Amino acid sequence: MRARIRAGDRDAFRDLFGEYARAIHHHAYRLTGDWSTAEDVVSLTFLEAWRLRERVDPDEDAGPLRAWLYGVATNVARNVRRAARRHSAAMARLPRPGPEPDHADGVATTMYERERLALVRRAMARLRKNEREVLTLCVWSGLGYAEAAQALDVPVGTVRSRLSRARRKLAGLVDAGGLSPVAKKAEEIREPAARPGQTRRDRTNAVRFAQENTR
Amino acid sequence: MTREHDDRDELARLLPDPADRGLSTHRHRQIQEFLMTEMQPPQRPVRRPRRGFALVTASVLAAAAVAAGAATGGFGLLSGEPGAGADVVATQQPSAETPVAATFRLAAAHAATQEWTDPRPDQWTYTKYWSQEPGPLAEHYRWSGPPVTREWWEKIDGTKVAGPQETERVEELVLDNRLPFLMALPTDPQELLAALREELADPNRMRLDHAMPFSFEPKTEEEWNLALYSNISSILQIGVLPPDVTSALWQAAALIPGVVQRDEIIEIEGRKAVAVSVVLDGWFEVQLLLDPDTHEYVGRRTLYAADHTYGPDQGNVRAKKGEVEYVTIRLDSGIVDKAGDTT
Repeated sequence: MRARIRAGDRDAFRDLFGEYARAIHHHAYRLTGDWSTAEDVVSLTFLEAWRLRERVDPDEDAGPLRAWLYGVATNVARNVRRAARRHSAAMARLPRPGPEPDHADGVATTMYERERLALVRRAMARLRKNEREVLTLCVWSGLGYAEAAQALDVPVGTVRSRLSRARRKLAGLVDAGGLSPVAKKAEEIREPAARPGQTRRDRTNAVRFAQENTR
Repeated sequence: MTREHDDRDELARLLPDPADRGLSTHRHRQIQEFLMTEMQPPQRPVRRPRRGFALVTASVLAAAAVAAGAATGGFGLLSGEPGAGADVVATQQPSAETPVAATFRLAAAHAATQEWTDPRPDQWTYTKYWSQEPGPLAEHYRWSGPPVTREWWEKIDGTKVAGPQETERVEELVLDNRLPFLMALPTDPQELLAALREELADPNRMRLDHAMPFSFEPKTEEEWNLALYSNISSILQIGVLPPDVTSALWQAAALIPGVVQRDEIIEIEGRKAVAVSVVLDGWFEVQLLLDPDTHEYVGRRTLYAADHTYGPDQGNVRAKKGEVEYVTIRLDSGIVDKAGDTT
């Protein structure tokens, strides 16, 4: 696979996209907090991967290409505008999302989900960018320390220390009452029943109003 | 439990994953198609012609004869009543007509006599074709392989295309196609050439020419000639355009300077064909393939008219004279009611 990617084998890139596009999309959202930007990051990541294909380690024993691709995606997410400028001609040809609800507005409109997202955003804002990247890679994307180190091009010890620091900060936030361990909370919070006549949009707006007042 | 797991598990407990949804299947496929289109080999700097008028040889003289044929009415009578075109054209044969001029005239006449009913906007064109990319550049980029037979549909209203996807199931993709533009092409050959050139020059309209193994942005007139000729060949491949447009395409091809007809009859996939070509700078040749008896479109092909060594962007690939880079034969075409239907 590495040899095929290095050689610019388009079928190999198609396979790579099929295997990782959704994971990269999630990763990009975790880093940018915006689904639309995350979608651009997906396209830019694979355009960058194509451009940088010859830099892939040719050693087939180096394992799957996941770490390399996550590294490219993380770099793109750090500065989406720069990547977009580099590929501006191509991105201009990317079809805009159609009328299909790609990110259906009904998906995350429950009170619980809105609250949960607000909570995560608040917590993430307390972390440094490099701590967010390590957290995203190791905790949510499931990369091991060594893979995350490879993706970020830093020593494994740096990954370990950043993750440890992130944990301490978030634990401190819990102690200060600013964050509740939601793995438990998830079982407790239920969406309140809609009042007669209340629409989903009403509830969404209500939650948004609440979020804005908690920032 | 290791410290690694300690930190990760604790963080997972503290923070739920905010990414709780993903790309829709439609958008996933749309981005994939976009990327596969963008992931092309680097643009090859096109070699400038070494000579100017020194290149003007028998081919230009032949084309001039074709143009003269058009100017004297040899092609201008093709828009008459269906069924009468071939006979009318045959009687209008210019006295000094060259073989290539005769081939194009007969191809235009054949096209003009085809039956036609304007399709509805919700109908689709259907094209089935055989193709292979056996050439050295395709080999270098590893997109060469055994011959394939594919089917392709394009919606008449220009909004969709369809073809078998990874699952082999025919799926519709929301991608613009050229049909509204092509269906409305001028039937005057000169105007048609101008329209195609304008479209090719529009930087906002991406034109991929699968017959060209390298990215190709024409600059010199010779390069424009090749680009237009290859473009016409790709349009003829569709096989389902109004007869007067198809006829005009053949006439327009005849107006392109540098067209030559190969002497030998070739055989590809059991189809005999005569090749009519434009050659870029003496080494890269684009061929339209026609049935030698009916002068119906058969397919198209690109090959090397002389040994050639590409630059470093193409890995210094060496091509030998006669090697075929791309070849396709149209097997079937028609208008159908929905994607997946065949004629």
